[in-house]
Amino acid sequence: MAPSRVSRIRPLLVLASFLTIWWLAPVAVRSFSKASFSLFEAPGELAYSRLKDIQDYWGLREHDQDSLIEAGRDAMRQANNLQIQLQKTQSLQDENQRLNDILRLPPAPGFRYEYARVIRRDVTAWWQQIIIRKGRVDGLAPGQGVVFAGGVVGRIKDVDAYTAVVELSSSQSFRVAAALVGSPDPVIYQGVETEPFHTPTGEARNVSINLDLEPGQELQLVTSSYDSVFPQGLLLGQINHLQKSTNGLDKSGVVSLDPGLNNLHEVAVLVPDQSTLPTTLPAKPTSPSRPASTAARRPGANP
Amino acid sequence: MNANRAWYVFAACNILLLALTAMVNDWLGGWGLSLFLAGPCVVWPALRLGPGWLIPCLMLSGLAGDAALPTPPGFLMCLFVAGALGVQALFPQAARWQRSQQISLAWVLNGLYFFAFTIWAMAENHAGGRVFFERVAADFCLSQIIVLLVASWHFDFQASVLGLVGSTAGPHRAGAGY
Repeated sequence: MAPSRVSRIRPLLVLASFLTIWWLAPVAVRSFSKASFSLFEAPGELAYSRLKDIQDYWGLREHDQDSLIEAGRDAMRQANNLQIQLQKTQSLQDENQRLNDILRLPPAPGFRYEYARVIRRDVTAWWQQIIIRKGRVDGLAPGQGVVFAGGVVGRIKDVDAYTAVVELSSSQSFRVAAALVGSPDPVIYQGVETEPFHTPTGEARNVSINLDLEPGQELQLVTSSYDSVFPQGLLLGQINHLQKSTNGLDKSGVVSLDPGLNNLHEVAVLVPDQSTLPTTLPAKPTSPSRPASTAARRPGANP
Repeated sequence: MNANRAWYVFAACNILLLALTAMVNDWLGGWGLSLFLAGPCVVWPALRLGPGWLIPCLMLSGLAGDAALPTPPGFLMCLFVAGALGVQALFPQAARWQRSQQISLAWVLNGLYFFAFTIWAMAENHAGGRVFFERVAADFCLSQIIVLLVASWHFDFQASVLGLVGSTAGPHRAGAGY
């Protein structure tokens, strides 16, 4: 017997009721359902990540002794090189600190690095994110910057107790103030979707109209001091072609990001160091005749 | 029909499929590709459960899928429920369909869900342009090819698990209620 008209409409009535109830449900209920499911799934993801670590460990155990000796020797060379670079960096930091003291500048915000393993990559046409194995209990919070050996990875978007979601710098919703090495003008960087079988890319906008690139020449795009999420000078990517924007007032260019961005295994989260954050506002000048340079004092410095 | 056992079997199988898809996407991310396999999750619950068990089943699997997505809470769940109830309304005799027709239904639903996510991404991130649509086209083609293979496996897997738990969830008759 053919189903009656009412029985055919019934699923649609149920659907309309369901969608109305869900739409009318308070935002807190909907958010709670998402957060609780996320927490419920977190142990599974952590277990999966640990299993991958064990798999990697047993894979490495298969290496023969000669290759391990070779790898150890290479690592020692790299460690020596890094030690020399560390001394140079320390001397530059000391000089920088001395100049800051002379100019009485407030300290730049400092960061500590919180290293985290990547649990899962989720690089689709709609969003580009990774899930890392550190969370709120490790001091992570939304908005913090994430970096790796190849430069900027992205920004923390969402944090749970033991995991965090990082929006990649190749994501279209990732935007940050940047600068070109050798150019004082600020630039806007925004992610662009990754084409299949291509390295991830972004776009640099508001590049000075006077800046020209010779064929084969490359410009490095780095983070700028205008952005408080990342310290100044971290590599975002390379630009090898600039073109005039549609408004004709500035230029834009495609930024080639590090190919390693799509194969991340470990990243470092830039957690703001509380000890370098100003705890009090700089003292206001008491009289108009007071020099402007004394208005901004370092916290803790004697007046 | 032992639907009170079948609904959580379907939900568990759906969560497993979504988790496996996430694992494959982790690997595919290196090549700038991704899979989207939501269509098969809806077909058997829609064909074998009445609305009373269908909604809890798809709420559970949809919310589990939603947890890892940057979409608004309940986005995938609403798509799942809308798809299943839409199938029951449009195709009351679909419960008696052959396996090939069920796979075709999974293929169509997967395409529609993919389209819904693309619309959401365009509205949310102002996504667009040549690169975006190239990537969407690549992911869509890959997903629609793979879903043909995965749907068949997923239905077999669900049938095996139903057999293991001793449930004999038969086809849902239109208007049969629960």
